Amino acid sequence: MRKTLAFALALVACGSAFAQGVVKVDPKLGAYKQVPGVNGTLNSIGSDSLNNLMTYWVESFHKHYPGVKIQVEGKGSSTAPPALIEGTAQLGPMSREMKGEEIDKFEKKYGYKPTRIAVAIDTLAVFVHRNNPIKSLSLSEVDAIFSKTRKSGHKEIRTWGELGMKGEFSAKPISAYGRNSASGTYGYFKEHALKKGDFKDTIKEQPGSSSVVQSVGTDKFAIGYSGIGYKTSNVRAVPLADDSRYNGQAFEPTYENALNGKYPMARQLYIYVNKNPRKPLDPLTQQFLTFVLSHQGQEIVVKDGYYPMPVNMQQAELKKLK
Amino acid sequence: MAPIPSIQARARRTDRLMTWIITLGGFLIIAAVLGILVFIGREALPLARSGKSRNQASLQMAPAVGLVAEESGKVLGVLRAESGVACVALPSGSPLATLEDGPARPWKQATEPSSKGEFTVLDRDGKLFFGRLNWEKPSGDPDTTHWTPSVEWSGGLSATVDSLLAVRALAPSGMATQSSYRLLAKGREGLVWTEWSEGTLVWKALSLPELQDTTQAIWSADGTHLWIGTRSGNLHYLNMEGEASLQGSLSFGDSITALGFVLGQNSLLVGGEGGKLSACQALKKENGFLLQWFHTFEKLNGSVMGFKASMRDKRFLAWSTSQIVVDHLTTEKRLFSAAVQDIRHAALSPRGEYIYASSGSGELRSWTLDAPHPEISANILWGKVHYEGYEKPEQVWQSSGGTDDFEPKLSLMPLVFGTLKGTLFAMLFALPLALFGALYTSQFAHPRLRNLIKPAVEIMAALPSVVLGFLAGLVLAPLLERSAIHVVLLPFFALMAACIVAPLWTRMPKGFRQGWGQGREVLWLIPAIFIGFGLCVVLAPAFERIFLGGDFRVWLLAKHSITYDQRNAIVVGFAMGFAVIPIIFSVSEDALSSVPKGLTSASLACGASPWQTAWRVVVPTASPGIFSAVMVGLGRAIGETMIVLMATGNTPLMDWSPFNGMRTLAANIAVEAPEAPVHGTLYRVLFLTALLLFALTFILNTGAEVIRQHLRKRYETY
Repeated sequence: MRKTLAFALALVACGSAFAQGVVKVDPKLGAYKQVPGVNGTLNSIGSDSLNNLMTYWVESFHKHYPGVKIQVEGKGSSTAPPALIEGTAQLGPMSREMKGEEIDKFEKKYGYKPTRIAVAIDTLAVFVHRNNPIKSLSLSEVDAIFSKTRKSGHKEIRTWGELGMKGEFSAKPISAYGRNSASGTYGYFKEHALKKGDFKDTIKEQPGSSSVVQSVGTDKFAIGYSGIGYKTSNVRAVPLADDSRYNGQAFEPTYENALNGKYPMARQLYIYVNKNPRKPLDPLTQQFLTFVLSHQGQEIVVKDGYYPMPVNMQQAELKKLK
Repeated sequence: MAPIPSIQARARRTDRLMTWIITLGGFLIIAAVLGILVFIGREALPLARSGKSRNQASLQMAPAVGLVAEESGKVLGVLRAESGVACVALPSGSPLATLEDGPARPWKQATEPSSKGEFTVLDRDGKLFFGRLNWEKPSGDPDTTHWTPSVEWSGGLSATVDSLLAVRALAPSGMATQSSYRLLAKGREGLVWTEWSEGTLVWKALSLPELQDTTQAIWSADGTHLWIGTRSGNLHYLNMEGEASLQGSLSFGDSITALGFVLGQNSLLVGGEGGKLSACQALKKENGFLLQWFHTFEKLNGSVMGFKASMRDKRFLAWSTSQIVVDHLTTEKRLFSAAVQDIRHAALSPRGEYIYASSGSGELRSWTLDAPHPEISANILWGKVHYEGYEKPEQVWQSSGGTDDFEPKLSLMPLVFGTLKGTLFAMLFALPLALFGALYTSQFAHPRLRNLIKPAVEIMAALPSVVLGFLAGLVLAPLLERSAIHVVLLPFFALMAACIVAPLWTRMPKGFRQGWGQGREVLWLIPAIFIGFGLCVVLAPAFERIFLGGDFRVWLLAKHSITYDQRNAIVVGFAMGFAVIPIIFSVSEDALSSVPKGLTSASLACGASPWQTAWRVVVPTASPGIFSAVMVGLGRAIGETMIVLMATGNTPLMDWSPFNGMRTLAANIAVEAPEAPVHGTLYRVLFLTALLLFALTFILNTGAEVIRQHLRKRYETY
């Protein structure tokens, strides 16, 4: 009994020593300084990928300012522009950039363009079941699995065997899950992985990223895409390779690979606000965004599984808030 | 006349009051329903409106060699060979600034500016300059006099060519900070081309025999391919990476006079000398490219001179010597058409709202165009459309993407198909169970049993459909997938067991039958079903191994090419059955029970068996009620949203297979409505689908009511 306990403890110690390097926030990021006189209500309507993150930020922000009420709703990035235009939300988290059409409508109403603040870095991951042994996927293979127009020129892939898998996987059809069309993740994936092609009709649309990951985690022959922050222990993120760069070498979705551009689907997560260029931003929104970009805010980003902003990007975004 | 007693008078007054209130209530309900119809119709109707255009005042200026339209329609950039780039305010025409820097004037040639304001100039000394016109607007200031126009010039390279055919600027990639350019020009000995980012221009000859009579050329978006149009009416697609090689050709049939891309740089517009206008695309396949014509537009008067694309959707401007039009790529509809004398150059503002045309005499004509929904036509909604990137015309529903250049695919056929499929599977599962259950409960069951079954089934109706959908999607679907073969085989085994047990009943001693029967016989079938279930669990794996080669799903894919999806129509059938069975059961059971007992007694007295009585006498008499029960159930199944939303993957397929999902009209509205931009095309199409559902249910219910009245008259008892 004592021998087993000692062995288990040793394993845990070794395990933590070999554990993947935990992502650390850039130490040059300043801490958040509280200011007096901040109260009111804020509404945030937008991205589902940022939903958990917004909730954590709101909780933490509430600790600094108990009088502030913030409501968070995350049905998909496409819900953010209409909410900002109608004025039903002051914060519009989006996991993709606003389309020209959406900026036009905003500009038509207010006379100036919306302000985009980058708040975190994400690597859009392709997930498979934890027992799926596939080593890596190239972007053209991902295109062939998910798309019916296959702009990368690969032929259609329907079973795991066509990806070179053997054994029990070889004859099984690939069961694909994705997001619905309101999602910024859907739009980003369509633009970068499908090269603006169309999704197959058989991709099962799930209303949120967590439900995509859950579906992949319970279906052994499934594949799905979502932000890295939604990873659970039931799934694994497949290393991706871009055929035209780095000799088609596949890279894991880690922080370093996001920053140095080796992972092909690294993106920024944004919050859009309505800021009149001739007037300062309203104090509650400004303090919230300053908090988000501070050291504490970026630690929360790490806690949720996304990647923090390096200090030079953070400084550039803080300038936009002035 | 004797005075009416006051009690009766009060009763009469109360009667009149209640009649009035109830009639008013009835009319209000009709008015509310009509009000909903009017509201939905009003939101959906603007889809049918075609573009409206307004002529604005025309201005007289010096002739131009190119126009650059700005998005607000308040200023216009005018390129002139003698004086450089002039900016004029509209609609007054007052000059704002003239930019004279850059290439030495008079310019030998200026290429047609793109919609982004980029153009190339070959100046007096034969030097090549790349220019981009943009306006500095101080913090969104709407006053045009505060705007500063400027042209970013780059290049200044000496080029010994006669004329430029095609120039493409490529954004810097990787670590580079400079844009790179691809150029195709006509030199002294024929066509020459080059790639340039810095240093001097080094021209390479392009001497393929097919390109002898080249008239027009355009580079692809990434600079790797070149489209060339010739006088003999051929369109050639060349691969320009490394050595130039011909990848494919298309025959246009008319001398090619203009080439241009639509937003997205995938579809190429081709214009000919006789005014012929078509669009083609190059689809990447595993071993090369497939070139195909996929859209044809109405002919223009005169030979086509040029194209400009809108930066927001798939509409484009095309002009010939005497006509200027705005067409939409997907619908092939003409949004705007005007006849102008001697057009030389034209421009379309980035949002497609302002159109400008400059003629040889210097007259500048302008129009505003209001066409908010150009991507919808009856053919798009109901027929097959050939979309960009697709090999042949198809009916597709894929309504949005993350970028402006996404082509919305708004065909309603997959949704209508999905609605019918969902309803069919729900009815297939629910109807036999509900109707035969109602028949048994009302005609054969012991009254005590009946008093147990009827309330139990009615409680089923109280389950919220969200819960049903959730359980179906998250619990039932994985369970069904694991034990698909058991579910398919269970009915057969259960039937087999029942067929063995049921005859045994008649062989039981009479005392037993009288004690335990009398309407409770059905309870003795329950052990039979369990036996069947047990047999199924034991034998099904063996069955799967022997006949299907190990796995039901793999067998389906290999033998019949059917993919088994976890969220499929069978799951929907089960779940919708739960929602629909209680309704059909209740109403039809009531109808069957209200058949006068006199009829059944008479029939039994005449010697008919209980089954004959039930089938030949009771069911026809109750048929109006049963019919209306089925119609109510059908109406519920068509409109059911949450179950379909959660139990299927909302996949817009047009496939009758029970092993994959569907996307119904109702679930589609639930999924897409929250994110549709208000008053946009998708928003209005969703209201159109709501109108369709409304009309469908209305027609169904009205038809059902008419038939019910007819049946009632026919089977009326005296």
